[in-house]
Amino acid sequence: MPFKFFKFPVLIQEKILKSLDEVDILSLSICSKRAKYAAIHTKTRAKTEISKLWFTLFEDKVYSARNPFRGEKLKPFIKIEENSKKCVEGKSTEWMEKLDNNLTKALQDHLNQLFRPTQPISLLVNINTLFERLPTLTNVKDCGLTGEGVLTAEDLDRFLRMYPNLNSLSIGPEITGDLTDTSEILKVERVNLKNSGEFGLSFLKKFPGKHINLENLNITHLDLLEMIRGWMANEAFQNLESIGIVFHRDFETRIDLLVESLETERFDPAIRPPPVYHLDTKIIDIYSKEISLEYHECYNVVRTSDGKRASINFPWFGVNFLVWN
Amino acid sequence: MSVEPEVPIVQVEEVRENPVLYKIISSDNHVFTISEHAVKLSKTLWDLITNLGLTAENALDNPIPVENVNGKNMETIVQFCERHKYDEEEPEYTNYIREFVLPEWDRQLLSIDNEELFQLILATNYLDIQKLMDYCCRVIGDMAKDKTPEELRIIYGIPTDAEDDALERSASDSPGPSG
Repeated sequence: MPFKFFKFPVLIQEKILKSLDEVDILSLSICSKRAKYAAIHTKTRAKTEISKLWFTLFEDKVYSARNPFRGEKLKPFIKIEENSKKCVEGKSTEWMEKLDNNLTKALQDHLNQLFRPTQPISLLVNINTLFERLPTLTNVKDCGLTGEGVLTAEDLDRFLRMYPNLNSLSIGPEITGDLTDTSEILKVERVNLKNSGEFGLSFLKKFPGKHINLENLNITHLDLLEMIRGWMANEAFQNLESIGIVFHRDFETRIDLLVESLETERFDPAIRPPPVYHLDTKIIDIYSKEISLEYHECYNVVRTSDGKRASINFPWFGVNFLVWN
Repeated sequence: MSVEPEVPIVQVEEVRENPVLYKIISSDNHVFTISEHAVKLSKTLWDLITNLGLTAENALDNPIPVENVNGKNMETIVQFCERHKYDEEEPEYTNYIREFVLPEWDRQLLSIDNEELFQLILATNYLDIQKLMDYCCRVIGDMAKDKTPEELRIIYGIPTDAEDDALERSASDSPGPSG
């Protein structure tokens, strides 16, 4: 014999709802209008804890998690099928039917009603489904693009036109094609490229934003030198706060030659770099970290126009360029 | 009508360590004995005891009638309270019911059919036993784990929109008190 959930006093209904996690609450909320109302009007644990919603579009499922980067198991809450009418027949509700064609704004509205997140949405998208089933969500401020294969610069532009004004962007696949002065990625202030390739190097040279992290980058000491001198002369990177580079493992960057050619500041005990640089790029999938800037391990450079300083250090795998606050 | 405790709960060592005992009579006239520490878990019962001015001397001579709880539920409740009477006070799980681990002993105690659990929750609500309420709701919440909406609808007996509408229509069609 089933429970009669709505026969319980309201306070008990609320207690039961508080014992559900966000995916179960979502499932309950689409059982009926009354169930949705109960879910919305209960101060559920999920509602109090979810300040941010993550949408992960991967293969044929949409996942939800409070934070997928903290090792939390992702829970699929909607499975999108080609023939979804047939597949969701058993659990059909008006709301699910609306998802037949694609994931729509209805999903976001529903989740916003349920959980009332206080922060903008983060979106993780597999590039293989980039445009087939891309949800039209609003208030998306951080995006991560994942997946196998390569991403063309044109597709990236198309995607970024759909989701403009991003706070941060992280891209896993290598980007092919040319970076132009009108490329949309130049409008994003915080960027992480995990497979930088040639596009990454071109992007670094033109980067107008605050934080850039480039992994698997082929970069010569001359490119690095040009970059640093550009900053020192205030000819480039005017807004820059940090650059993080992880060298490509098959490519040797001659740090020794770079250091030899670099016009570093003479050590002055009165002007020391912060012993520990707290780097918080606020890029979608990069956590804040502390970087030790001991004098013997870093080189300081000065921007002549305004006297701003930056430290460069060389961990074994790459380079950090950190502008002092 | 003679009333005899069907399920004596009192343990010998309990009497030794805590001589203050109270008698409770369920709605179907079963008598239960419960220790002072245990009965304090029920806000309703403890308020009643305090208001009635029951003391160690007169407690056993003045059984407390509880009209809204039958013997079966009272047995479970007394077992629960005796089990948890010395637990450290825990914060109320206002928002975090999923966070605590439900002890195996309690899970076994609450492994009862849905109708019994429903009645137990109502009794627990009436007696205002916070911890047992949290545990019961947790058991019900666990039933929803990884279920589809349609499975949930069956488990929780949630009517469809059409059924709700029909119910509302029939309620509004039925004559009111004056009709």
